[in-house]
Amino acid sequence: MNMIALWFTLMILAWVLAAYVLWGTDIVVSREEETGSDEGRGG
Amino acid sequence: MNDPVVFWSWIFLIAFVGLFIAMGYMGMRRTKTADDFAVARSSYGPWVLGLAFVATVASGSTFLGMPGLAYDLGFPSLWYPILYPIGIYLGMLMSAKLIKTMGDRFGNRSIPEFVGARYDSDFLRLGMTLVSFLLLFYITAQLVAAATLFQVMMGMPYIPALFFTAGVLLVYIVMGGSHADILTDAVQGLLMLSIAVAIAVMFFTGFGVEGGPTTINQRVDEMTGAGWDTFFIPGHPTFGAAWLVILLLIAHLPFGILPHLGNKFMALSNARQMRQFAMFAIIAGGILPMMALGGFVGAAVIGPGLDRPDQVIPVLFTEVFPPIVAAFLAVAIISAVLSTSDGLVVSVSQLLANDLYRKQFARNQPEEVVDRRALLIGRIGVVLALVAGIALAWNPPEYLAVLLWVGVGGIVSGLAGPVLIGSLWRRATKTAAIISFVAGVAAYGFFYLPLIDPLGFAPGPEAGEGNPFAAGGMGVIVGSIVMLVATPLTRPMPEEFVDRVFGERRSPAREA
Repeated sequence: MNMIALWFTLMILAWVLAAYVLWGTDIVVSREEETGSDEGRGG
Repeated sequence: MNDPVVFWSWIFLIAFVGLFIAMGYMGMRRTKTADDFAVARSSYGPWVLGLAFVATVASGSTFLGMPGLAYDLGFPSLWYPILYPIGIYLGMLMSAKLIKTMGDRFGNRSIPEFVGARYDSDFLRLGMTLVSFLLLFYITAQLVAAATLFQVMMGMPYIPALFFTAGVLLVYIVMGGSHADILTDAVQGLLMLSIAVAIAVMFFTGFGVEGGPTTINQRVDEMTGAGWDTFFIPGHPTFGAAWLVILLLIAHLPFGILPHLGNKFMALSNARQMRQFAMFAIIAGGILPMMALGGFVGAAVIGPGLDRPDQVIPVLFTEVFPPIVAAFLAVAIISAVLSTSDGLVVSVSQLLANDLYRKQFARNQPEEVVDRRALLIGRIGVVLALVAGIALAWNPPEYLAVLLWVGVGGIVSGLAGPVLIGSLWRRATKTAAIISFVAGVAAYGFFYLPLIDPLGFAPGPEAGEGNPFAAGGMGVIVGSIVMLVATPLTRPMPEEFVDRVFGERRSPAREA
């Protein structure tokens, strides 16, 4: 392992983690929004 | 720099400035209200906004500073470009949803206003507003970087270059506010991404270096004593040990919520696009720091002896490319500086127009009047922010980088508890958020200012001494722990209010 290999390993792991958080949890997008509620409209 | 490069640089510069001003005009046509000027609410899709976000994150530091560090220190300096995007974008995932959804529901126009509204606290809004004025030093640092670039690449004297940079920003931001900021940032982001990919390709193919990447590594090793098998530089204040680089990562977690970045979430067309926006920003934001690899290519092509390591990229371009390509790339680097400065200028203008005028002094006045005046104050605020930036950059303070980090470090340390934790934890209380904000900022000062400096993070007399990231990391840790400990000990916020903040009603079992 060198610094370049470490960089790509960590970067790809971070991308996979982000994809999981975005599509596998409701931390960023909740189920209500997914089904098309009015979340986000001014009020 | 030689003459053909200067000639072509002027041609491209005029073309780019013309384009940015045209976008400022487009932004002006979309700016009808103070809300449009402040955040361009719900106006852009995930790709345009993703580019704008990553372009704002990556400043002169990514495009000049990190390649300079790589040239000067060798491979262990890569911890910075490796870890800062991971920190920033993970922090973004934690907080973007609430900033977007609650920001839209409550009509928030800035991060200080969002923080105040999340806890129904004027103290937090005003505290955040006052600390955020330190972003002026961030603007100053960017103006100094741009003026220095003009000086080096185009032979323009420093003071006229300063006025030229501020003048370009002034024209397009006064006209179009956040719309102009986002539109120009998207173009700037695309250019920056292309350059970063080109630099990565140069490194991996060994462009301009016989023997490819292995030779590059050998030359870096000879020059710095730190080839790619070296992970740390013993005794170095930032890259000396694993715990120091972990603190660097932690310090960047709240960075994406700094006022000039966090306000971008509110410009997303709707919250359902958050996935595409965030994923695209995370991928592009991971690629941009590959600029650092240019420092190694520079070490191999130019060799030792550069007066200032942060000139390695412009010098490398003129060494290996024909003048027309070198000039195009050099002008594109100026874009990197502008794309951060413009967002900062809009944010500082909103501290005056929104956080102080609208939310503090004009609460009881008719909304129509307030809106018209806030729009005007926003535009005047842009002028004031740039005038202050020029005044500070005229004779750059000796400790400009230190002042910059007093501001950024103070904000990230103060934001960690109230925003990062408070975005995910419904139970987080107002009192805990106030204590956490004060404790985070105080902890940062404790670890960074040379008054006490228990772990040796304070800046010293020589350039490169001190470690603001580690001090910021400590501030973030202290702020977060205080938030977690103080919340259960303080009175919960009314359930109705929390429901309004999170926009949903949950069963009591899930609240814990």
